[in-house]
Amino acid sequence: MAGEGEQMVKLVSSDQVEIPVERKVAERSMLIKNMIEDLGAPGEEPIPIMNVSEPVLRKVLEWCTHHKNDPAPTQDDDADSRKKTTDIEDWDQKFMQVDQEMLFEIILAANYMDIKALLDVGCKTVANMIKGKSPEEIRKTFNIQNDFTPEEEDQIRRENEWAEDR
Amino acid sequence: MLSLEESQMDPLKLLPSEVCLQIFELLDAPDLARVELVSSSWREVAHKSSVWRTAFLRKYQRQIHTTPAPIQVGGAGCGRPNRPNQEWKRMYKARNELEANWRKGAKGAGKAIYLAGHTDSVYCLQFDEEKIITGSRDRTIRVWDINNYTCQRVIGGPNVKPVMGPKVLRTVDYPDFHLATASVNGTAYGNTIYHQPSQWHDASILCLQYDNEILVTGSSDSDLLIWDIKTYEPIKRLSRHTGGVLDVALDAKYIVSCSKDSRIIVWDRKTYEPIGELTGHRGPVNAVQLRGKLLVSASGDGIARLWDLEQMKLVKEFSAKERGLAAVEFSEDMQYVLAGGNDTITYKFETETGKEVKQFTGHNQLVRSLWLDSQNNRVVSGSYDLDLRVYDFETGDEIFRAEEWTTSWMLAAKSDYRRIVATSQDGRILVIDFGLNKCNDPDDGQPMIDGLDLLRGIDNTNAIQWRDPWERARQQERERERARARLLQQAQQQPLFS
Repeated sequence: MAGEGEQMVKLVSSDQVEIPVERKVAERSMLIKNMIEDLGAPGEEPIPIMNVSEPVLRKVLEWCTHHKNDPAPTQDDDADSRKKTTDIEDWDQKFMQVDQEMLFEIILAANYMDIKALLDVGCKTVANMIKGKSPEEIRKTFNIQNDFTPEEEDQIRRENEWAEDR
Repeated sequence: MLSLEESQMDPLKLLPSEVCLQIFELLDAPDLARVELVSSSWREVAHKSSVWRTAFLRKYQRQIHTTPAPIQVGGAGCGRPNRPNQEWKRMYKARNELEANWRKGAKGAGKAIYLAGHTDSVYCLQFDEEKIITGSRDRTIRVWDINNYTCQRVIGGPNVKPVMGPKVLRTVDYPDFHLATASVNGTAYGNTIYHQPSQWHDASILCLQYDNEILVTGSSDSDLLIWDIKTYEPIKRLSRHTGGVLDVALDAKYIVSCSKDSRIIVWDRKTYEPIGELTGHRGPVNAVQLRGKLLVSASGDGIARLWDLEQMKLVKEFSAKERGLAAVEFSEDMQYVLAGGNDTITYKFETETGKEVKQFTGHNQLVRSLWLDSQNNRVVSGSYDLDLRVYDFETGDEIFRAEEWTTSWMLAAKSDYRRIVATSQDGRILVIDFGLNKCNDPDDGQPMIDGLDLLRGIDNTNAIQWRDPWERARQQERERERARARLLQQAQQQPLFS
């Protein structure tokens, strides 16, 4: 299997831009990995990434390049829910410093391209935007209309009083 | 973060629902409480059972650090394993309330249940969500139903069958008192539950531990008995110690016993054959605790020692105390060792460095028993000063104290997420249940925490209905008050002279 890693593949974004990329990098995406396995001559045939536009695809591939040598995720990572913290490593944190639209695009792309680790980082980033904020701050952050009546709000507040920080 | 006004948008509208769930599953209870107020669609997602399930388990699920895993004493308080659609939010609330109750102090929470039957000091105990097993100086082992508090079985030789005696040791008029069971000794029922096995201990039962298959008891007769936990029939007698067996620890691989003869013997859990002996203590070895391949022991020589069972050798000695050590504990992550004894202080040592990092103080007599609940970060100590103290394992702060809730020395105590079970020289078993509310205010009528039963790991068919012993008196008082108020009202409405 030597040399397979350096092999190049051609990805095509939804807006028809062809992006050549190292196979090992592309295979961080389970979607691409499975497609490559089905292809006869992976180096030549372009691989369409239907739902992802060029700027987003480039951004996603930037992440894949940085993480190309990460160990494959194990089954038990998911099993232990205690491990699910919202800690994000420094490089990923910087990588995720993008505007909200791009952030959601990356999450959507990671979900579609089946890149679990990137999806995790994206979700943690959004979770961290929610954590510690008041309902009003959350609404501001995401431009959400409050559709509760004051009475409803009161009731929910009473219901959840116990869960508030002490 | 750079974000333009126009690019702000609601993730719930933009992202697929499974991704939204993944985001919400990263939030903890205080965040979820705020998220529910954002909008009705946010509330809907936050309400999903998987969101609260993840938050609950992240906070309360037991962490296993060793193979084999340590025995679970009591319940895990995480609901029925593998049952779908549990009420995770209500369970989270119940756990939250329980945690608060542990810290409310003896006047605020924790109700006492006393079990009578043993006719002498009760030296040892273990419990799970179905039963309590106790061992006593009266040479019997007793099995109690932890849910309805009845004595289910008394196991002992032909000469120690109890006869009718005082039913309750003393009348308890304590404000924290909830319930006391009467002894069934010598009654028709008492006789039906007496079980005389093919072998027994002919002296005090000093220590015991059990798992799903076996019960191991150690006695002043210098022997250990292995029992079938289903039938309470002996499987094997281990006779190798030359003095009383003071403590025992077991897991799926080893049985470890320690004795007045200053030795620790390691036995094979499967074959019950001795694997080796650990010698070095210069006094009786009073207590042992097992975590995987590591063992800690505490001795009357004032030293706590750490041993490696794979190499059968001493790893470390923790700084010697001038006076004897009676009890020892080992955190489940193996990072800390607790030891306490004659000088009334419990010491916390760091395993790696051997350094003393904390002292748990307050008792004014010997610390006879120590229990560390690693899952809930609580230390329970029982002392000859008659008190039980509960400490925060991390800060060392005392969070609860049961002062003289028994009439004699505290000999053993263990705890889980909701209760302490302790035994005393006065022959009684004391259960302190933090799931039961004090009901000091007659109109604050909840006898127990809402959702408490959902936390149980097993289904329970014979739970007794909780009754406040003073409920009747309070109700009468309330009725009298209402009658008085009515009379007063009538009196005011009537003209003074008619």
